[in-house]
Amino acid sequence: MLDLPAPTQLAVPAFVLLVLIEMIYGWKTGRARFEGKDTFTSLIMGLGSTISGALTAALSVGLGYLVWENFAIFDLGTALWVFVLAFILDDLTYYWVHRMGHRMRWMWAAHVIHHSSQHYNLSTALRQTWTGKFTPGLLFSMPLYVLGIEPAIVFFVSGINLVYQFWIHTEAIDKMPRWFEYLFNTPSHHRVHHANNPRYLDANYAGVLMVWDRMFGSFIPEDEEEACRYGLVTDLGTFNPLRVATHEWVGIFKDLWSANSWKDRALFLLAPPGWTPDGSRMTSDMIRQAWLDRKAQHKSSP
Amino acid sequence: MDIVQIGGSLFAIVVLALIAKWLFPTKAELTEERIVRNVARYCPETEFDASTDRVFVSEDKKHAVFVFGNPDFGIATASALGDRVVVRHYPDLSQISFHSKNGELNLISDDFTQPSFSVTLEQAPESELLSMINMTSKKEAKHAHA
Repeated sequence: MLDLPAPTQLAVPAFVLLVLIEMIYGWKTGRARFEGKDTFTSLIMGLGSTISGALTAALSVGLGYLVWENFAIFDLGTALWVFVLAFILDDLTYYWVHRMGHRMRWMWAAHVIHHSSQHYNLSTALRQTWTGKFTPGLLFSMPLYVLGIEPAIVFFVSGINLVYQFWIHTEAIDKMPRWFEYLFNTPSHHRVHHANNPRYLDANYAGVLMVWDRMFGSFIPEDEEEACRYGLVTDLGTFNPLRVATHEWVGIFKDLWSANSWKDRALFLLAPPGWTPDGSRMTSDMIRQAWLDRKAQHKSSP
Repeated sequence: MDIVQIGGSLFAIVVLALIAKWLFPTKAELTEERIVRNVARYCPETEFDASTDRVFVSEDKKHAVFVFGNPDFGIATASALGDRVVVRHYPDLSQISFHSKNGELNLISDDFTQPSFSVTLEQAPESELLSMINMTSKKEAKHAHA
């Protein structure tokens, strides 16, 4: 097994320092906002995610190597170009994992944690899941192993991808140069992703390369006329890390328990968050449609 | 990760959170204007009528109950969470129960994401709130049987 460093672990001291710098910058300029308990919860979620990641690493490493050793079509080796290829393909994989993380409730149960803060600052970047390995997200990397990329390389480039995504969780940076905004994920694009305004829901899933959102029709630019409002469609009423980590799983189990058919049970897991058999809750599509209807009604009324 | 790393991380987390608390002190008070604005944002499908809608803010200004004048819309609750506001809408009052005890009104709902909370109101507003909630429940029941 190739021995490569873990970029996210190496970056932790820089993360802490940058959170501190953003706090001081925000305090001086008002261009970033923190709240003590929210920051505490975000950082505790980050620590919990690291611990749960370490505890469940055997699962992803084991599965990755099992597939690579037995089903790889090519032996791509460890040349530099393989790392570049792995980075691009992993970024594409990330796009789809992330997109499904918003569109499939089972995967949302793990990812929702990252969106549960009503603040948007560098500490939010560290508010990460504790249960990511218990979703089908793990399977999305399999094609890379079948192609012949060694799992250690995928884990390494995936770490670099996550380190890149740290700095985009800020309101302190308005816009990057136009060419950069076109090619890469930026604070502006990612603010839209974290916003719960109906017009911004389910957009900008990219990790590093913005091309995926442009290619697959999920790109929405930040509109200066409508400031992003962060958090969930139904915000959490607690800072308790255990509730933050598990609330959607609890919701899923309650729904599975009370479901009337196996089809409903399957859809409670696989359909978008908010889906119910009777339409009593709203999915993001329904919320956006209701917003569009209200807008149209508002325009047509004298 | 070993225990030293975890201990060091916990220490850094506490220090950063304390700095955040110190640099960004939170004035977590609910005002009527703030409650109405947030309820309107959270419940865009409802209709508001300032002449009949009523807002009951707890004495500590941390929680509030918004009773829609139109009983079809039920009630909403608003809670200060840090410097932000969290709203829940209960068009159907069977989703939430109220228990008045020792001058406190406990609101209990089966919602894992929003722990139950108590609203301390002066006696007159509490009686008014309970009477409005009773009226809303009765009208709901009437609609259900119609």
